[in-house]
Amino acid sequence: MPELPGWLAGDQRYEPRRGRDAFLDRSILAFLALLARGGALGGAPAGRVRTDPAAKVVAAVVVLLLVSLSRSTVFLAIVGSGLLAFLAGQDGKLIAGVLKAAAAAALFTLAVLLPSALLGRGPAAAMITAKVFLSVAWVRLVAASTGWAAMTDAFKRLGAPDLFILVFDLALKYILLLGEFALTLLYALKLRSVGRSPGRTGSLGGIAGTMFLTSKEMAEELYDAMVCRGFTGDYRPLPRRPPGLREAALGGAVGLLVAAFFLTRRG
Amino acid sequence: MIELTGVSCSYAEGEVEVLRDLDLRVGRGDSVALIGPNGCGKSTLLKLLNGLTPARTGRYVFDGEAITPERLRQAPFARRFHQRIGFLFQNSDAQLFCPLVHEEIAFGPRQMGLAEPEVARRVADCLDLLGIAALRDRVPYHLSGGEKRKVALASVLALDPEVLVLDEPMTGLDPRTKQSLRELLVALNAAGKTVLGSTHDFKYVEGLFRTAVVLGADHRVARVGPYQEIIEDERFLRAQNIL
Repeated sequence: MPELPGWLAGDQRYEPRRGRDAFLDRSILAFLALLARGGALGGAPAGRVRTDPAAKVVAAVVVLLLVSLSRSTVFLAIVGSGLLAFLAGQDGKLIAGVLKAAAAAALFTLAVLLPSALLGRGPAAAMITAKVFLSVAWVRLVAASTGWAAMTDAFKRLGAPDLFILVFDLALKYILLLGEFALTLLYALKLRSVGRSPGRTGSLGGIAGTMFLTSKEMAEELYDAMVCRGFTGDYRPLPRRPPGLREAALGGAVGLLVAAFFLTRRG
Repeated sequence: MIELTGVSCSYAEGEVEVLRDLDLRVGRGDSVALIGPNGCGKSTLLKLLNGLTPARTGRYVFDGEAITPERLRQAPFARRFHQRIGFLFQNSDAQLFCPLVHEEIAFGPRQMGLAEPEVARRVADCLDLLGIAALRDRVPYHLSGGEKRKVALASVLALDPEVLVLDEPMTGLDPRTKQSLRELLVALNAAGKTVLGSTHDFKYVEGLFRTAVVLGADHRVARVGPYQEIIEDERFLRAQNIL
């Protein structure tokens, strides 16, 4: 049996100095929130938007383009109304997620534009803020209502390069695993943070370094596993059903928006 | 030392409970094995004991003090608590975050504000104790699985905790490393440390644990009793999907 050193053989009475661990606690909470969001992303698509994913992506791109090009408050109001109409049919969780993300982005934009608003460019600042709100809300709506595989498939059908799809796919799959790994590292740091020392900040750097190395290793392993199961670098589109009523309705709505864009532009 | 009363735990409200109505008593100096099939909640229980996962219902008392999220938000209390209870993670990769092995071991003692000669003594003792003196200046990330496990344990021991919580300590180790780790844990327990660990590797923990707590697939305690008696009850272990 190994002989233990004297300091390890008995209990010690350690009285820690006062201080706070706010940064570490906040980091842990942030990762927990990220994992909760990631869990939602990895699970079944939320809400009741069951339209073809490729159609949703195209519609979202068109809406983003029109919103960014428009200078008409009437058009933005129409897009906002459309958003509300879409959201009205969704479940509460999805509505809250979409509105929270959009409101956060809009608030940040407003804060950045506040000086220009105070210097007399209020209407422009308000319009940009409204555009950010609408753009983020539509993108969030599409992301929250589309599963991983469906999104990858949509990119493939829209002609995105396979390399782009591979990077997107790996990022989506690993955001959860890496988040969990980072959380465990933060827990390990917290459990041994039993006092105060200047080295704590350096340890966060160590965590970032370990995360970087681990992510590289995990991505390589995942790619090897995909190759071993017959992946040759090409993504094949999933079998799909022919466009139906939903896709036709979405196409009609986008067509109306395009018409509204030009009509309000003239006005 | 450790008292859990009616503890239930789930990761999110409305989700499946990973621990259900759990009662557990661990005395000072005890050695307790936590046994159960995959997914029964062993790792969650170990996290809960370390204050990483809060109980949804029930009460956790450590050495007479209730452990609650509110108490753990008080930094001095949390620091004292974490010094007294050391946790060896199942994944050693996720436990090592310093650039060099000796810095990894010195991290805890430096946090405690010990003088540098005392920190150096603890580092040297821990390196010797685990037979990893040759790894002193190596980068933890580049070590083998067994070496990482030893460095992780050394970094925990350097804090001199009263309770050692081990999540599958023998997993992924070669037979000789398992043997030396078992001997070290027996010595630590004989010196008065409370040892509590989850394990599937009954062959290599012989003589280490005196009590066994069996968690069932329904996330409840299925049986508590003398370790030897329980691991010799093959019919019970098969019924619990442990053998």
